[in-house]
Amino acid sequence: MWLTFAKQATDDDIIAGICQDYPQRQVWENRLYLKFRYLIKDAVWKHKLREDEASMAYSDAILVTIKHIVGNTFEQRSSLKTYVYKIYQYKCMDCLRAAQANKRGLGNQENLDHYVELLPDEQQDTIRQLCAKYEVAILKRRIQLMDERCQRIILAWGEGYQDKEIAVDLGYQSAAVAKTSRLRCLEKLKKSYKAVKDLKTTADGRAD
Amino acid sequence: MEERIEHYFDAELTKAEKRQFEEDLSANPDLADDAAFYLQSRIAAKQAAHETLLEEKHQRWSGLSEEQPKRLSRGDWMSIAAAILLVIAAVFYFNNPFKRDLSVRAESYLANNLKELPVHLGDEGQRLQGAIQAYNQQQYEPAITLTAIYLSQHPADAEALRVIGLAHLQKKEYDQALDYFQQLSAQTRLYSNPGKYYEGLTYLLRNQEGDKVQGRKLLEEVIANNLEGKQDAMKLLE
Repeated sequence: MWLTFAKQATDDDIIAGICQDYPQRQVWENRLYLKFRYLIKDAVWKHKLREDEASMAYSDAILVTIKHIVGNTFEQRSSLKTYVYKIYQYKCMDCLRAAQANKRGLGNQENLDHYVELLPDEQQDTIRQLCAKYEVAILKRRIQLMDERCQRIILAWGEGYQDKEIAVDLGYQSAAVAKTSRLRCLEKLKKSYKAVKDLKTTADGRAD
Repeated sequence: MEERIEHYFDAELTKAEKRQFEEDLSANPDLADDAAFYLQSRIAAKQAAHETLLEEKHQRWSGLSEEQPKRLSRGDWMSIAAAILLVIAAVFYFNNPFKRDLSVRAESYLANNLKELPVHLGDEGQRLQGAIQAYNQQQYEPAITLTAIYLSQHPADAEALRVIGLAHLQKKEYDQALDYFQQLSAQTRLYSNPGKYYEGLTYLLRNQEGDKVQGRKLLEEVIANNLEGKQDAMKLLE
């Protein structure tokens, strides 16, 4: 048994490192990942998850932590260890619930509420009912099947990039052009979704 | 798809525009349908982006093979603690700091005792009294000189042998001190003879090779034979 006496990165070191640009940021993301990787084995034992499930949930927790650090929503009221541990516990519970039917939509509902509650009270129920027509899981699949350009622009939008950033990254002339392209891609997505839904409705009808 | 939908949910419309949008939303089912689709596709895009990034990061991170500092198990910590305890025990066994060296105790005894000798009154031994007074004033050289002169006339005087021996002892002149204490020890007609005790004490203070053993032996004899200095000898050997 040999002990290494290498200096451990502090929370401040890791946070500062992750707030840098790539490629330096990648080094610190890796260090954050490695620092608490032992939690995976704990989760396998505690939550009775498979190792691959626990490992994916851990990566998810680290990714969320990184997003919070970059987005300044991690206020350092607790240590990184406590923060990562809490998020990881939630991810493990999500993983356990994902095995059960009808529980996966819970996160979607919370996200939808955030937007619907911006509407006047009398319109909220109507919009909620209309939203139920468009299943998030199917939309996600349709996004993955879109042409590369539309897929990239929609995923960039989903990651939270502004139109001006998408324009630079994907080579559009301006933010306005990027926005127009994105809205066109959303139109395509809607048509694609409806086509699949119509097909399904027809198939169900024939089966009856 | 109308840009107004995105502007509304991003809170980018003026109050008037917002009011107009909400009125149109109520009146226009297609607009309402587009708004619903927009919200769901925004959620789907966010989740899909996260899942794509997660997949990419997970693949990268899972492949990391950086050597991690080994986490110590409970057994490891107990082994370390046991090893440390063994080392401490060994140090104490071979060199117990709480058990002071015999020579050190002898030095401490000398520092706290034998600083004053009783002065005898009377005409005889006046010079010796002067020597004792000099000794009591820690003037050991004059004490030695005066006692030596006295001894030249009274070579077997036990008190003089004691004074001059102790004066040499105070000056750390251990060989000379031993010589006088051995002469004192050799006297057999004394009612109370501290010679052997002083001899043992001097060996401990000199602390040359074999002195500690010799000193201890003499002190044990003082104790065993109930000689003068027995109590002090017992304290030293505790």
